[in-house]
Amino acid sequence: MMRHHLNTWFSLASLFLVSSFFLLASCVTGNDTDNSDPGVGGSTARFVIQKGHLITIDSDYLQVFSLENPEQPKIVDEFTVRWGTVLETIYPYQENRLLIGTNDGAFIMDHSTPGELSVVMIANHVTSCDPVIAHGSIMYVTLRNGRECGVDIQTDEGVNQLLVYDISELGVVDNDTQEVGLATLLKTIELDQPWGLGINGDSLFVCVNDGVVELDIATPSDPQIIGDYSAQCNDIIASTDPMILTHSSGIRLMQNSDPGLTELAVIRAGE
Amino acid sequence: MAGRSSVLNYLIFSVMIGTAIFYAHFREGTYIGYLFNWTQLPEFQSSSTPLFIQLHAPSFLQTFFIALIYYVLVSPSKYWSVVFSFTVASALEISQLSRWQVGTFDVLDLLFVLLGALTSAGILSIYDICNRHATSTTKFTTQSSRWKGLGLVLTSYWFTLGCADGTCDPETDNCIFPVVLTWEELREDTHPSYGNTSTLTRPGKVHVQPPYLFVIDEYRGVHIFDQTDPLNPTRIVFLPIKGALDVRINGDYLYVNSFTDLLSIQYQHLLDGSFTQDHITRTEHVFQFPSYHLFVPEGYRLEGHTEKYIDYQLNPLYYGRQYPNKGFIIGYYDADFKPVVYGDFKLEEDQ
Repeated sequence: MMRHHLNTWFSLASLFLVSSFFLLASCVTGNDTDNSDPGVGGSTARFVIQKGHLITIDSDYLQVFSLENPEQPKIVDEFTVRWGTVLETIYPYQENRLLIGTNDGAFIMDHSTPGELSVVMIANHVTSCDPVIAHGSIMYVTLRNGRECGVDIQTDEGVNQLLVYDISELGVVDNDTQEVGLATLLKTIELDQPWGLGINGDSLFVCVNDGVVELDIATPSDPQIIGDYSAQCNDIIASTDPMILTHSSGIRLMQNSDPGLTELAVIRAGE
Repeated sequence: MAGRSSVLNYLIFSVMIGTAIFYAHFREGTYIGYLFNWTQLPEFQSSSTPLFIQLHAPSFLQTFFIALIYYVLVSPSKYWSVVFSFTVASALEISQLSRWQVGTFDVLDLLFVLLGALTSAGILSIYDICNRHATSTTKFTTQSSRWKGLGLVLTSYWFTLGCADGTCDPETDNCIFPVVLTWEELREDTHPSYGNTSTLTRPGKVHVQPPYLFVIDEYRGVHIFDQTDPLNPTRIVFLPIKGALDVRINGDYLYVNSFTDLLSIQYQHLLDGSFTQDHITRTEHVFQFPSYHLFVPEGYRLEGHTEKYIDYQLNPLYYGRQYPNKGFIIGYYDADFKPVVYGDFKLEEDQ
């Protein structure tokens, strides 16, 4: 008896929750202040701040929080993706675009109007984990197999690659005729378990299984491997000085000594 | 004398009710549990109660409680009350060895049944000494009314038995007891540790905001380092935040997740040491909460009443996001009753 009562209350509560989310989703602010984020995060981030909005990904949800009242962020928009797709990484690109890596593809969203997002390009690939970054009109995506990436290692070997896409043909952002562009795959480079990646000048750094690979992207569509270093990393913040490598064993501060990487300091796990 | 007797009877009734409430604290899967659940009792299995107590207190309390009920309602003899209670409780515990009785047999439970019986014997002896001149007014004195009394006692047994306790079958499963983080524990006040006093347990994501480095300690909080001298980055402060995985800065505010919640922190106060709880604001229930699979090693099943921490797992696309009432699972207790939280799988490594 009691159990049924509990279930009834639970259903009522969930009904209330669902309806409150519909209410939240329906209110969109017209805040135009550009509060650009001077800080830098890695390519495996799930939080991004762009145009006074915090954009978060959370398994199959993408949420847009208005920071108009910085103490009380408010959800102004949210998206879900189709069943089976997991949103993994989000990275700002240019002033008004976002790169989103999922377990079965990458897509680009337009963020020209603060708080309003729309998909302008899609790049599909096999099931893997994939951080994404871009340079000019070229997008770099790493694919990595492994159990944590939705790949069944017993039956599906997955792939370990750096993919180079042309993303110059973005879709049209127009409320009437919205078209989604398709990224063109230009090049595939085999790497050992690549993960996070970052760009510093003409260099693309990619974290791999036992270190960091440096690629020359003076010609962005045709990266060439020019270095291989042994520093452990899962993700890399390359555009800052010093560069930051993150890994479960610790955080490394590195100097780009061009060519090569010099370790300045390590904040080790357990310290 | 009669007045004194009724005072003592009230006393023994109070002990009975008190025991029942205390029992409900540990056993939610009983009608007593459901009854007292409505009165907002503290959560059973709260992390403040040692697991050892949580596991064995029900055996003790049930034996104790039934002995008192039996004495008041049925038997004129304290010995028979204690023997009856001990026999039935042990028989139920031993029957857990069979398939058709839910729960897990444990020799320690039997020991606690014995302790419960001995404690009730002690209480009843004191009661009898104080009460020896009084004639009892509460007992069923005729043979037929004794059967009614026995019926009442058996009903109270049924009330106190776990009705769905033990979702895990120890014969076929590897059972572990979950660690639950309640909403109150998630939202407790947090106090920064200034200076180089804390440890980076599990390095996570990093946010660079020159000259500062914000480093996530996965599920535990955020460290702020000064990297003015890149050869020697120094820790300024560590702020514990349960469930922290991501960090970003906008203006004067630091945004960090705390499992389901989003925190806005005025971080300048962390840098200059003037931080108070007023500088942190929590936007509740904006993110999904973690699947317990993240924090429980593969191949293990959870013991106890866990469905209310995990039964929300409906597709949020159709049902909206739902959150369990009490909290959610963040780990399990290992063989030494030590909590292993946030997926630091020692159990798996040991094998």
